[in-house]
Amino acid sequence: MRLNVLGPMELVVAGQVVPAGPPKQRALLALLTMHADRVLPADLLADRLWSGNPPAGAQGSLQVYVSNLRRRLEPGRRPGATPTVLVSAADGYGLMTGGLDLDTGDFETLVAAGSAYLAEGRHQETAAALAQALGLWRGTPYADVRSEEWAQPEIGRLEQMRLDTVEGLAAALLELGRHTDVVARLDPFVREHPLRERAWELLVLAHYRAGRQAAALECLRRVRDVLAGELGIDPGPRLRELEGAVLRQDTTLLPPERPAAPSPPQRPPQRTLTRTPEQTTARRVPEPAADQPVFVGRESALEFLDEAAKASSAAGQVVLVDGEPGVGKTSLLKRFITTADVPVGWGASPDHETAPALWPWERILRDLAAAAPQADLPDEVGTFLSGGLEAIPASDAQGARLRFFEAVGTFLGGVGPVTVVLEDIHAADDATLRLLVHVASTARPGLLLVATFRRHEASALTGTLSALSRLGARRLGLDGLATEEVRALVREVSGRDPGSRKAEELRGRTAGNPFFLAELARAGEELPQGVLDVVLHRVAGLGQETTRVLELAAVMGDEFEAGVLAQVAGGTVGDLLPPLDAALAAGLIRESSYRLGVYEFAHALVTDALLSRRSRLWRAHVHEQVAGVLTRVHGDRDDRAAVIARHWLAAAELGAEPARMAMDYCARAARAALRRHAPDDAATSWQEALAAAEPAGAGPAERFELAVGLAESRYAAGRFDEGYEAVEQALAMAGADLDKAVEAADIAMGHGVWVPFRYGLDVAALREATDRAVRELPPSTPAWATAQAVRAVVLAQTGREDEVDAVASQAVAAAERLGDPALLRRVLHLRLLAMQGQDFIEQRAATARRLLAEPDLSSQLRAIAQLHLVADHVEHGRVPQARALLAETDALLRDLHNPALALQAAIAHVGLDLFQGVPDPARHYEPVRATLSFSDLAYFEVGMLAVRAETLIQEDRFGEEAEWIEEMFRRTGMAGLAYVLAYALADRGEHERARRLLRETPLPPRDYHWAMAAMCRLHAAIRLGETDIVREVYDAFRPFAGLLHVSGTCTTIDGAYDGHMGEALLALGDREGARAHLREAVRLLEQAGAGYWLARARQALDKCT
Amino acid sequence: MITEEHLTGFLMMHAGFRAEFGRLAEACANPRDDTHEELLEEQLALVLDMLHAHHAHEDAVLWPTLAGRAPQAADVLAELESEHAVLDPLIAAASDRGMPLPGRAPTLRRLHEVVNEHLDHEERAVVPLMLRHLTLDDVEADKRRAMDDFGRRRVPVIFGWLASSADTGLLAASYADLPVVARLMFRLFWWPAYRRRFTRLYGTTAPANALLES
Repeated sequence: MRLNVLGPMELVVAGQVVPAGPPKQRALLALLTMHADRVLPADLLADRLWSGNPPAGAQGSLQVYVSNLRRRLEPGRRPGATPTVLVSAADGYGLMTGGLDLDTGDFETLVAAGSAYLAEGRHQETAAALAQALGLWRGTPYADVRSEEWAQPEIGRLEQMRLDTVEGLAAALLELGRHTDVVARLDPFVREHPLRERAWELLVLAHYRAGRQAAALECLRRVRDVLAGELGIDPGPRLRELEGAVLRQDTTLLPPERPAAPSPPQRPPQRTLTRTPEQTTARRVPEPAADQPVFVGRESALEFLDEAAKASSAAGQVVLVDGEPGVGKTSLLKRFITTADVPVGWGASPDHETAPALWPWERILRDLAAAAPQADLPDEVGTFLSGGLEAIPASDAQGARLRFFEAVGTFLGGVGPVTVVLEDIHAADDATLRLLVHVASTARPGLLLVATFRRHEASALTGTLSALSRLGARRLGLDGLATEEVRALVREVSGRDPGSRKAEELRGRTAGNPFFLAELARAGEELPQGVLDVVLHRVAGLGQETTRVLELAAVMGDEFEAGVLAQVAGGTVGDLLPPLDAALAAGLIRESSYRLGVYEFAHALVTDALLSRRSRLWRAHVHEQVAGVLTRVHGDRDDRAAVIARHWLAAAELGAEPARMAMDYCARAARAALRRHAPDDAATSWQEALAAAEPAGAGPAERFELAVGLAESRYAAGRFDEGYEAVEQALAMAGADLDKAVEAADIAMGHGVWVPFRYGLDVAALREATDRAVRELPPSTPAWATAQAVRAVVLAQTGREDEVDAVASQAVAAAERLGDPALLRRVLHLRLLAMQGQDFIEQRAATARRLLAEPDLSSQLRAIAQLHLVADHVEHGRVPQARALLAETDALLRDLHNPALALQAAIAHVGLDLFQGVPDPARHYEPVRATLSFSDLAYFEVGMLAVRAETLIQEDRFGEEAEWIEEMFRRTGMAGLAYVLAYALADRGEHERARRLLRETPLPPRDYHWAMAAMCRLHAAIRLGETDIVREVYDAFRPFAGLLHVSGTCTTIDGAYDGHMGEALLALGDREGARAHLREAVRLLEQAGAGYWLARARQALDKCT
Repeated sequence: MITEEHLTGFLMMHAGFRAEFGRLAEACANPRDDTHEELLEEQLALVLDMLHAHHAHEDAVLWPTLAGRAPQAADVLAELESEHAVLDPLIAAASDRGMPLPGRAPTLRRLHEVVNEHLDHEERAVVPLMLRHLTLDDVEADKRRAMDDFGRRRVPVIFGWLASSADTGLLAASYADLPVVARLMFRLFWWPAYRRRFTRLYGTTAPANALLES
């Protein structure tokens, strides 16, 4: 038996609602229920039921009603048995609830429980209990008697409890981050109960936390009006405080750290991102906004995406969506993800203005970290999301980036099935594109990666797109809508069916572009010309003030902050609300779902239209204003530096002051980009800083810092040639400041196994600077030691190998005297770089060992030293030891992820495999190839070249490849290739030309390429019968008897020197001498496990008998 | 009333189109290696994107504006628009990556000829109309539109391409018209980088320019 009174009364018996009888009878039941478990005197009951004026037969009627109710309330009671629910006692009646369930009782129990949970901060449980309590309400309580005066106190009490409960539920939902839910509940609530200040307060917070600052302020304005109008009072202290906090964007308004569920223990502790607003609004799926554009058609595109989503469970999928601006790429994907049953990460590159490097990925990662809290967040990702590393050492720039990229891949893999959307990649920063390719190349099953771009801006993406299509990315081209779809769209936007002829005409005019069509339909009249004119027409319709505000906002970019815009427009946020509301209502802008108080233009075309009429000078002035406000508001925030820089740059033509601000903020943006693993983007910002330095009137010292920054970023990006140019600029600006000159010179040395100079680079500027530094600086300074160490490298580069050892030793000695371990490690590293070629075999190995003995050695330097020792082992024929040390280096590099060093290790593997005849040596390049930077690719090409050349030697096929060799020689000018060409030409019978090449091309300096060149010269000379040259090389090789012939760090291993010398003596007719060399060669090569070169030495030995 | 100087941007684009398809036709016939091929593809895609943007802007904005102000010119404008349509199949063939570059070289040669004829026609017939009927606001809006079409990522290369194609006078006028930061970026960084790109593309040195290499 159950009685429900929270609405029209319901008597429920055995699950069936039974009628409670005529009105007076129902009123009696209501009266008894309101005073349940108590006995009310019969005369009081009659008095109430007949409104203080009971007729004569009232008591009799009362008894009839009681009797009727008893039959309904206790249908199973035997006649004569004592009633237990509606009892009689003394002169009255009472309703006993022991055998009766009352919904008010349930309500009160649930509310009490909810309140207790709320006090304990158990918001999930609070919300469940209170929602259930409110679910019991079916209307006004005791609806049947709601106009009776005696019913008012109880109805009022229950109503009051309900209002408190609604607010309690809203408070819990707010804490749970369910802002939309809160707004949905409270918005109608405050309309009905406008004096409930607590509800207004919660509503304001919900709007604010959902990033709708303007709506929050609007609520505050409304409650102020209501209170003033109805009560003539101001809002209470809490609301006033709240208003101030909203205007200040006070961080206390954000929810406290809130592990919604107990946080998994594997979560790294430094993860502070829960405090950021992005986090609080990140959600499983971006909310379909109310102003979502009208969507028609696209069935086949949605099907395509659905299929890709299905296929992704077997193997990661990449889909590239392209089309004209306004064709509906974003709408399509928004529609698609509403049906996707997986977490979605969504990031877009801003078409106008700029954002920090990797901004789209930051948004994606935040979305997913919030949507999939169970997924393990790798340290690198956590650090990135909480503001990035303090600084990344230049030597680790590439490794740190690759480690971060790998971590992103791991994180995405851990989320499980997931959809990642990257919008507008034609406008993306370089790092965003690299990460896109990286994620695509390591995509695991479950990942669906969708990127969009404008069709006719694809040439900005040629490299990225071809990399992605190599990885199996599929293209989804979006074209204009068909006529029937045009018709449906117009009908939906305007509410009028245009008919198919008109639709066809519209399609012709707009090329079926949905954005254009919707704008036309909204404009509601015939307009000439293009989409921008239609947008402008609509803007003009919103009035002058709205137009002015929107034009200013457009200068700020695709997104703008209301607070900043207000200052630019010269008013308060309150002043902005009417124009912004008008623009919102017109669908030209929308509130950002990501950031507090931020709006975004509905489409980049709207921004284009707004800016299309204004002069360059006007824009420059507005940029200056925007830059000024942003600098005041966000000037100390690294993540805004790029945006602020962009505005100052656009204002730089107005004078020295804005130019100087541009210079400063570009430099800050550059440093921030370096910390975000975006060295290419950092380099662009440094360039902008240097360009702004001129109108800013910056002096050489300031420009030096910028040029050094540029050089470092370019080296970090692996762009060594361009980096060297920046070093030259920095040297020029350093002028007489020798400490500065040395600082710049050191950058040019890089952090690799080899000095990052391309073959034949003119290093005169470096030579002059370091010569002068060594002459003029006191030898007791660190700068002198560094200068001397750099000088040694430069000497090696300029053919003065004989001076290298002494100069490098002086540098080491100076560093030792200074007792500076970091300096000592650096000069030892530079000594390794300086000692290239065959003349330093022993010193190089000794320096590498010395470096390995240094304390606090970085993994990079350890790997570099070990790679040199690998080569040393091979030179001495200790191939197994070399293989073991190389394996050890591989393990080191697996954690380091330094692509340049990984490439050098791969090159050594390839060289050893070729030497020992292991099939398919090029397989070692597979894992590293995708990760290489621009300059690494040059090394990679050299590596591939070496593989091809070595293969040709082993197969004796130079003759067939003369054209290729000639082309290589023409491009590089390397002497060794001239000799290889002579070899090839001799094979083809072109003896004269071959001889001329051989005689006219002198041996190169004794650098890293000398041994290879000399060997090729020897064999070409043997073929051509040039005995003088044969003798010359034989003499040059004699000091290396007993060693294997190694180029680079095992780039190629061309047998044993004795083998070459044996072949030389054979050609000279000295069989005796030849036999001795070749026996030694066979011994060495057998011990080393050689393939081709051992066979060749044996063959030559056979000829000696 | 505007003068020839105000049409610098428009004529710079023409200079770029006039030069580049010929250069590409020659280089694409015989690419050195994969890297060279990739670079040529990128350059070709860029110039075709720009040609598309240029024609789209003419058809959607410029020609209707002129036709509105000079109704007697409607015929010649319609003729020019129909020439755009003649170019379309050539552009489609030139951008078809299904066909290897050397196979597209004859198309590029043909495109070079047709584009030059078309631009001759345009400059003969339309430039006088533009001078008479466009306003400074129109010119300013066109420039802004062109910069939007370029896009941030492509600006350095586009500026380099145009500078490598224009004659000294046109280049000087266009350079003087740039905002100061862009001018410096161009001189300090974009032009040197483009000269390297030019050499990698075409195997020769980009035309020297006293203005930019001082």
